[in-house]
Amino acid sequence: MADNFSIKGFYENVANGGLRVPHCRNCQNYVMPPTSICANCLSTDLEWAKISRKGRVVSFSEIHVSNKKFQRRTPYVVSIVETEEGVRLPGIIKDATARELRIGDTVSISVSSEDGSPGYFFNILKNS
Amino acid sequence: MLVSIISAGMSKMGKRDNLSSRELFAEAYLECMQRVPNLDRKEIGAVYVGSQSEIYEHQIMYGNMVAETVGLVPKAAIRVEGCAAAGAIALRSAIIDVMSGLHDIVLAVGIEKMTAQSTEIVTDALMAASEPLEQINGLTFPSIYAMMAVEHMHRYGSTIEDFAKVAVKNHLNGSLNPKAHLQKQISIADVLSSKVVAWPLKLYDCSPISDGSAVAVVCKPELATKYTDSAIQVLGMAAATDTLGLYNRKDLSWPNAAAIACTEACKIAKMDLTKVKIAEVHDAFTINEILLSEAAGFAEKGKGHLLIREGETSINGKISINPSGGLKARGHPTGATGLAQVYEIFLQLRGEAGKRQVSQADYALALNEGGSDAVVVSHVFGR
Ligand SMILES: [Zn+2]
Repeated sequence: MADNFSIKGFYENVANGGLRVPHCRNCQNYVMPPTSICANCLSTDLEWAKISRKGRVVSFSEIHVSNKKFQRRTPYVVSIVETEEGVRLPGIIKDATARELRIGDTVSISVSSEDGSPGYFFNILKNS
Repeated sequence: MLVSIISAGMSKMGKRDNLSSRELFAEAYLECMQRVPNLDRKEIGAVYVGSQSEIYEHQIMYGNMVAETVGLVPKAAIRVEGCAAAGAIALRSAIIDVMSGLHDIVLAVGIEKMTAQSTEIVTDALMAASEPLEQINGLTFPSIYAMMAVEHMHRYGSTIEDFAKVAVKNHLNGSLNPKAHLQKQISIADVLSSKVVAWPLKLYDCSPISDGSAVAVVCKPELATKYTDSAIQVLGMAAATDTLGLYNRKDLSWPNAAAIACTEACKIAKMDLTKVKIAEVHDAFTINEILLSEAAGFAEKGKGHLLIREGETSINGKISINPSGGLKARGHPTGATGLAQVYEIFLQLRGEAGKRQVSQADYALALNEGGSDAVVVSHVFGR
């Protein structure tokens, strides 16, 4: 596990197949975005906590115009997903269109770094 | 009253080929200074310049660039930044400077030259205002506002037709504004059939990529009549923040920073916003005009779309929102927008807004924001 509580550390864990976010030992807050201090209580006593690979769609959009890095993916669907612990992650829903999605849909979270991708993806499990 | 604004100026907004931000600023500055012939530029104590990004012109140090362009060197000239809220942050800095007693007269400038770069590069430069996890995962700014829109639609029943009506109204207003970037009227069908940028937002739901500059002169109230009989007054102001990333907010379609900035500015102004007849609000995307009108209290939470449905936000509606055409039609040169809003209010409160003049407007609100409503700056004006 990465020992640096940061976005870099988060992606080091992802590269090793782990989905963990810093968790405050003092107040039980999940620190997002990953960093070295809990904004809630200012404790630096953190641990990397495993989060669920399942979540629900809080909102979504289908992007048709993007920057250079992502233009080749267009159209692609992005979403904010909330895991069972209440941790929220922004990311791409693979092989989806906005037409078939609803707020509240369940997704699985898979960790993969194929073709220079962002590191984790969402996949639709079931429509709400 | 906090301070007086004795003059303002604005360049024509749009794709201003062959002009850099230097010339755009000069255009705004000259108009501004022509309004106050008694003001000697040597009386300007300091300059605050809002600009969003160094990417477009590969330029930082916009303070110096502005000061040297109109011979204000060696005066203090400082760039401020807050994505698209940079303009209002420059005004706020100028107001605080004058209120502190440091200077009597201070120039606030907003500036941006965006069209020199491709849409891909502009998209990327704007993504710098989102949070790293959003950037890494390819969330563009239109998609972040789209996610606010999707949640609003789901919870409150707003529709893409409501969003389209915001664009139609603002284009109509823009057609009455000779300095607007887009002066063409459009129909609901035009909006709905325009290409998707980030579903459900289409091209006509998005403000254009523009070049432009706007300026305002902030003056100690006791001295204002030396320069003009029709200064406008800043009655209240506030700024507030939200999380950098949209995903860290519990309520995606509630712009909390805007609500706080409005409440606090009203507290300082000792008035409520029911007196306000004009609001220039940050409609970078059509949905945001709806969300900000809720935050300002013009509609209850979850009912902002009913205002546009019922035509209450038209010029001479119950509350005239974006009579200038807003970011949508006046144009959105990011760093200039906050002061472009002030320029419109300056004209409106003085009765100089021509065909788009709102009648009996004594009070006005400007709401300028940066990022995903992550920093919101409010100013309340009176005559
Ligand atoms: Zn804590």
